[in-house]
Amino acid sequence: MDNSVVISTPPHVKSKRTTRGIMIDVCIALAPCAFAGCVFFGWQALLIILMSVFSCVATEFVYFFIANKGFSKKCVNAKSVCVRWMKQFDFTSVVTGIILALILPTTDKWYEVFYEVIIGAVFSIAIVKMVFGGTGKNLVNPAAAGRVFMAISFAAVTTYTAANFSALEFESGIFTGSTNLWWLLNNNGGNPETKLTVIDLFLGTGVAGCIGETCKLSILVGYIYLSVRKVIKWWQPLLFIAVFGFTAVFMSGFAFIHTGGYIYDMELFLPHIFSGGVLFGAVFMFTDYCTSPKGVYGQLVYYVVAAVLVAVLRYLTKLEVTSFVILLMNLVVPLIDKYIIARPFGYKKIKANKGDK
Amino acid sequence: MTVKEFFKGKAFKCIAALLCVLLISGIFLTIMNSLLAVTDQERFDRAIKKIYGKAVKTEAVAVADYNSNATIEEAYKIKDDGNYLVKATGKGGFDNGTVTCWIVVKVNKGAVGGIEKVVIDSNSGQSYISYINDKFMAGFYGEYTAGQYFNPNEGFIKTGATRSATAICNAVNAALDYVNALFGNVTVDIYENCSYIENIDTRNTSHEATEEQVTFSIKTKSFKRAGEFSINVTVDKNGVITAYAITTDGSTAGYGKNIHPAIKDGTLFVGKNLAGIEAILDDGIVYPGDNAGTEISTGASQSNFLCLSAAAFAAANYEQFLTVEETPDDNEEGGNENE
Amino acid sequence: MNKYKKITLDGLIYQNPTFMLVLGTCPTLGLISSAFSSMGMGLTVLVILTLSNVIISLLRKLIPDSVRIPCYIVIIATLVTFARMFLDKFLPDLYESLGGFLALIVVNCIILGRAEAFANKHTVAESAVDGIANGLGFTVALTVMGIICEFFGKGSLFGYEIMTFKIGMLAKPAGAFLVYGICIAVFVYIIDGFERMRRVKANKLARENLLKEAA
Repeated sequence: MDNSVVISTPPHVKSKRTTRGIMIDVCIALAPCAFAGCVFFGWQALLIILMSVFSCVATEFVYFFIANKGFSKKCVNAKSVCVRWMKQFDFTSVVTGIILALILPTTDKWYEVFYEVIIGAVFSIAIVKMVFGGTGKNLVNPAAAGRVFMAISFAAVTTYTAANFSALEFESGIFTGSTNLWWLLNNNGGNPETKLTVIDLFLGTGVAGCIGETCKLSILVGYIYLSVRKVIKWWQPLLFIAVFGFTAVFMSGFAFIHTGGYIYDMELFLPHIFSGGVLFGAVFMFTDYCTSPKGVYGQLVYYVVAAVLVAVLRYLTKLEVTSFVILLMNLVVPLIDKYIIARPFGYKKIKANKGDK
Repeated sequence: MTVKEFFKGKAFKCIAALLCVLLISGIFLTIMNSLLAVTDQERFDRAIKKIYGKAVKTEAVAVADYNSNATIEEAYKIKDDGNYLVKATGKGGFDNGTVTCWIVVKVNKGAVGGIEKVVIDSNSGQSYISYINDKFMAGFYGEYTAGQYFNPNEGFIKTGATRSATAICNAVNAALDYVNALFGNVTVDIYENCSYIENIDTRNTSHEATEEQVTFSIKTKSFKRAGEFSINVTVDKNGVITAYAITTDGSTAGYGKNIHPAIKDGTLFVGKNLAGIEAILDDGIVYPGDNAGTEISTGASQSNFLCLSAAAFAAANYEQFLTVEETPDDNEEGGNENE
Repeated sequence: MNKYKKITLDGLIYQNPTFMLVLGTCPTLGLISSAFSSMGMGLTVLVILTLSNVIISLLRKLIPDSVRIPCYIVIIATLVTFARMFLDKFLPDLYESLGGFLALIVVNCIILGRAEAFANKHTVAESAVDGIANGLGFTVALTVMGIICEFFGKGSLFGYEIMTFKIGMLAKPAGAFLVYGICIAVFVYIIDGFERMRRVKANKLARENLLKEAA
């Protein structure tokens, strides 16, 4: 970024890649999702995204300003603090803001969601990120934490169609009054004309989910962009999705047991991965650098365990649990990093010389 | 170490001090316990006060069950105003769970005047119980006309916790039955021992019988999305359905057109006996699922299923209602199998 | 008199059991979702703490050192049991809202801590003042956090509904953690500010004195 001399311990990585550059790439990858959200949900979605980004950046600025003593001595430092902030600004808070907005549902009462978005943004930036030391030092994904905070605090955020998974269970006497996805997929209340298909789920034309999660196609576009730019490793989301899909199908088979035996129905594979926020989480949230393990083996463990957790918890709780699992797995990352050590840079395995001794 | 040394030693001092503290504490607590003891009566009054809103004098009344959908746990007559406080456990909740409620039944001039208050005491496995709010409970309150029951599918019960609401509704109905019975108005459910009554609203069903045939006016319960149907079914003395007519179509708006055409005009059932009706579905009269590919999967399978249930009910139970001259044939299928 | 002032200030502010020593966190986190129950908890602890301090200070010469901890525990447990009976009889509402946390006062480290650190070395009067000061410090801290949590978490104050806006998380123990942490930060920041001001003042005074002497 700036050309001042940096003194650091090895390894000295020389690369044109900066945090700012990567984050701008992520922003670009998120753009199709945001665009699709605006197409589906109109100006309210756009307003929520803008508000969320603005709150995140503003929170970061205010925190930085206070922490760097911008207010002390009658604000004489104010200008230099602002300049310093501009220099270190790396778009992470913009990414957090966009993701936070994209994993929220829209409602007709957008003004109610509005202050919730502001509170969630302040929470995710100030408490989850800045208190721990800012970019790269946060323990958990700020957007996921913000989302979980909002989910616990404001019931309205979590009660929307795509989050209802009582759905992928056949008739079992459980019927709670909310729309269920299985029902939509099968006959939509005996009305074959409005029956949902997997394509509907994929394009987001059937069920209203969260702003960014509804159109899976746009997520795929973002995924391809990130993979091509090598911001994320291409196999990571695929591994997660595959393990998740198989586990979810495996779990939902248990719903058949009381109607006569376990059934492993691969037809449910696509509906499972196309419903809710699994795809979005896999591409944009699990892959966050500072909250995922460093080594390849660690990452393998991380994605597999996360996928199994999402599938099992979804089946048991019948709620959208992706963000909760992201939070949970983020907290386990230090442990994974401790026991599954990444190969140090330049390290070569020393061949044991049998001839010695 | 001699005994004398022991008594002078540190160990003895420690033991003595500890024992003294324990003894004094023990005596103190014993005295306080008897002074401050809360009697069972006091505790009960507190519980009542919490439910009733004010302190009242009560008198326990013997409990009895008059409604199979709920169990009466405790009942009290409130001496101050003559109302009844009933604790009832309603069945049929989410995941086959129950909800236990305290119900205040208002009494007007020696008859049931209505429900004054419903408070949830406990529940088993009702994960959506938090959706039940005061607004929902207020749906029960108000005037009451004799013979009235709360229907678990009425508008006010749609709360997001339909099953828990059903259990509460059952508890309230049972409380009404119970208090009614206390005043001598026992509601006898003549269809109580019939088979296939899961989907039949037995309280609103009636029949006319001759020696030759029984004509049921069946009112079904609602089933999932399908609402109540009123259906007239005539069964002859051989157990064969001779007439079948839907008088009120309870299907959800827009789905009526999807009802099986042979069910709509009754031709699917006419001429069949119980075995014939049971043979329509593979598993007998069990709802096969929305899209099971059976005969009733026509896009309104829930409505179809209700109609089927009504036919099965009529065909299975005609026997006990025939006006009898001779002893009827001993057990055919259905009939009094529950007795 | 200065001695009592110091004890009071220590208990209330400089060694505030909740904010400075972070003692008794279990009832704090469990109860601050409601202002009423947190205040009730604080006052109960205040009474028990004062009584236990007085009793232990009275008995400090009679109880041998090697068995002092069991003795303290027995005394505290007796007082807590008494408090439970009392509340059950006369304040059933509070008794119910405190629930299991009432019995847990026995192992509340504030009470045993003050007995061990203060009451067994000081006179009865001093111990009583210390008990009241610490108890008040605990009560005030709990009540303030209770009000914050209840106001934002449930939109009400002492059970009276004020607004419909609520952040549900703050009414749960997880949110209580958050509020607790923020309150500690703010409290320490304010105390530090006062300390700094006092130091600056003292330095200035010393400098002036020096200048005077030099002149």
